[in-house]
Amino acid sequence: MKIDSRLKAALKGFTANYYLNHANSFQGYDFEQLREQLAQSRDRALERNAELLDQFQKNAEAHGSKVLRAKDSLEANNMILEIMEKHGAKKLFKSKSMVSEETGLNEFLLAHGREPRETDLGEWIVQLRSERPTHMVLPAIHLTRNQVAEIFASKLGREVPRELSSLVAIAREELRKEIFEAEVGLTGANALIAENGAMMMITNEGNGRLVSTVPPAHIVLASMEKVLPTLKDALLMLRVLPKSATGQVITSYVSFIAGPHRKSQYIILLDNHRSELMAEPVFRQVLRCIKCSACLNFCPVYLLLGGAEYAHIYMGGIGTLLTAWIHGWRESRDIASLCLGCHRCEEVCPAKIKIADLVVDLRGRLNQELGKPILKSIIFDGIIAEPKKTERIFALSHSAAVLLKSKDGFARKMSWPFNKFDHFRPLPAPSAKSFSRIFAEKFSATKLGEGKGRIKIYAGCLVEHFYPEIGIAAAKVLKKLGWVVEPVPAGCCGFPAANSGFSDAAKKAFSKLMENVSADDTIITLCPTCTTMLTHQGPELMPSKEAEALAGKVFPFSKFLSERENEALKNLLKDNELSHKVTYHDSCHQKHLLKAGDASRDLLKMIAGCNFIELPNADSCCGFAGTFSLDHPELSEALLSEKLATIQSSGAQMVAVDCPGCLLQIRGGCTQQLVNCEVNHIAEILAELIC
Amino acid sequence: MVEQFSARAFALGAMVETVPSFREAQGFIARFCRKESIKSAVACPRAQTLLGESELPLLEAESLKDLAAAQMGIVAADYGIAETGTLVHFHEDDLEKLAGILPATCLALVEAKNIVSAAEDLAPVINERLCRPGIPGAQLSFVSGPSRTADIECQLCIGVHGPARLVILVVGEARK
Repeated sequence: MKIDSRLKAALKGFTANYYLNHANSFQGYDFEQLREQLAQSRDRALERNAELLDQFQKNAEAHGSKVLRAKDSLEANNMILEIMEKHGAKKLFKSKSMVSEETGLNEFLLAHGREPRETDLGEWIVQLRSERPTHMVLPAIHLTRNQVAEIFASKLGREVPRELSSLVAIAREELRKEIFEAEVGLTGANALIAENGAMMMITNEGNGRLVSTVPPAHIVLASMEKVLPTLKDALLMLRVLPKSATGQVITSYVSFIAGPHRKSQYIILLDNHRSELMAEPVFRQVLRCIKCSACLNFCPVYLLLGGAEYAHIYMGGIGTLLTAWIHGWRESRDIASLCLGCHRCEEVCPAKIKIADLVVDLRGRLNQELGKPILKSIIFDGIIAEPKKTERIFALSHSAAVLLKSKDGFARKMSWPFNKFDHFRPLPAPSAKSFSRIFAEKFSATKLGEGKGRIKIYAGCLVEHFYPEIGIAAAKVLKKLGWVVEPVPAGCCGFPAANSGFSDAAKKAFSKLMENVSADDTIITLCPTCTTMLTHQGPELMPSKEAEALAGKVFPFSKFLSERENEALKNLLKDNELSHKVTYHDSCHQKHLLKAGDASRDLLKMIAGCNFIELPNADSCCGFAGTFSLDHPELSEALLSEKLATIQSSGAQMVAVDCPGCLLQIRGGCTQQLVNCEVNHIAEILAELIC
Repeated sequence: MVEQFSARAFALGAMVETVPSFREAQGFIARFCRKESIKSAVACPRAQTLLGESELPLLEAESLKDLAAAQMGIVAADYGIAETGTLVHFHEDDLEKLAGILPATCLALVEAKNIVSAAEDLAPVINERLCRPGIPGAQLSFVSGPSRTADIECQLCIGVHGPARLVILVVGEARK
């Protein structure tokens, strides 16, 4: 995957404003309530899709439109070509239509001697440069005004001023020179309203209005999931879409067209495998998508790569899901590995699509349809699925710890071809003794009193085998607070396997873990990812009463302390406040799935008082993301660099984290790049102060 | 509601004026044309009817090119939406629709009594309009501020394919 630094910078500049506008535009509205309404509205429409399409067709035809049904891209493209022939058109004037990108309409028309003419400013620029859009809403975001001026100059054969207003004026004049002679215009549609046969089109520039009104024939190219039962459903979409898309309360123009004034109108309803997607109980919600691109604007990987790299045609995580059905399993396989699983998108999706969860489900589906990747199969089916084997391998790594460790305390650097995994930050060496073993030595049963009650620590693989000091610190803190602590016997929770779509392996690991706990246990976790496996993914993979009961008794360390031990901690910390400037990096799962980011901050404020400072973009992924950093080390490195840059500029002397994975990544990064900042798990910081 | 409508429309880049009657509206338009050196304007038939006898420099627009050549288009909106500062136009035909798009300045009349709180309040009238049996070509538009784009360097530019300037005249008294 290639990172274009200029595009990356442009996306960063755009999102800085977008985040503000997005938040402002929803002010005075209850976002959660709005998106619940929209999700329900979309689901109702999808359930009745076939019936609604018939109703829409009947009503649209009554208004004088011709409605055509296209099974796939080729059929749709041929219909458009036929309409152009009928109206004697050489050129097709297009306003922005994602569906026409999906069908490859422009290439098709060129191959048939016709000329597609994009009229949206960004699309036109991209078309003139024979490029692909890099953003759904801002297709030419990767270009500077100078590049735009250059391409306009070469199109017009004359010098072109570089001011934005002049460039925009050229787009206006050029379109007006051509459009009055146009025979056929094509637009997309944001919604098709069944009860009145109208289409709704949401635009800003006004080109959609020209293209749909000026030429004697107007083609509407719309995918079949766009049909909604009522005008009210469309107005609800209108209330949400512009805010999510650009942070505008409403766009400049919204057209409702229920049939032509004295001209021809054709409406092409495209299936392109959406019927199959609609029949998928798990994946159907993908079609709730209203193409606002909010998920992309919040996606750390999209913001690095942009929409030419992170796409087949449709972009990002949601695009990966659409691609799998619309364009095929193979086309979606590479991009399916690009989702970090940070779940940031799910917090902003106005249709409440579980994008990150669905990408994981898709990985499982791709393993079935295309076969499992060999290396992952060896690791997950061969090792993780066999807890005994996993244990033996880790035992071996503890014995070899001395050999694997270099002088600086990290693991020895790997050699080619594995150096791509650690050249940008050192990896930790396995510890000489596991957490369970140190625990057994330090806190023998005789020392355990009865205290407040018994509590179990589930350390997770990273703490168990690489960072036992975090587990010991947590045990000390809990003991100090009066709890009797014991560890859950080691074992992988199964998350890495589940995340790569190896659900059978994940089930085996998870059920082994379930054997080691009972419903009466209260479990403290030290890794948010393991936590989500115990509370979310595990019970979903293997639904049972026991798993459900357990899920309710699992607490992330910081959240448990912040909520249950607030007063006791205050007393203990009275004269022990941390004197460093400390900041907090949100671990994706802690923040976006467990919603425990605030609890951690409360705890840190207690620990550090006014020495706690916020990190800009604290909830953007550090780039570890488990197997992601092995699949895409170059992206992991880039995300890490961004994180390090914000840490450095924040002036923090210490970064607190809740996740040993983030700790691995950021501590390694600070060491490699000589950032003078300690990186510690919250348990370590607390233990240092109060134990 | 009129205040909210005006504030929202202004925030979107429209110029908003309130006048007590259509007679006053005519006076405002005449002054505006003089001030802005607008020599050629077109008015859609509804706006002409509402304004009554007029001494404005109105062109007869018979083709789209005539419309595009005019400096200003005067149109009449059927409703206003306070929540978003939006004008709602029920279009009679394409020339009338394009009178609001092609000239560089769009001047829209809206009666204060026709300003409603939210788009949903108009659902019944919109549906009635879109479902008129036997009358083909039912179209309506929501217009909120001037034409805009941020496609180059994410910088907001107005007047790309539609008007660069939207002037809204709110006429008369609000509904009690």
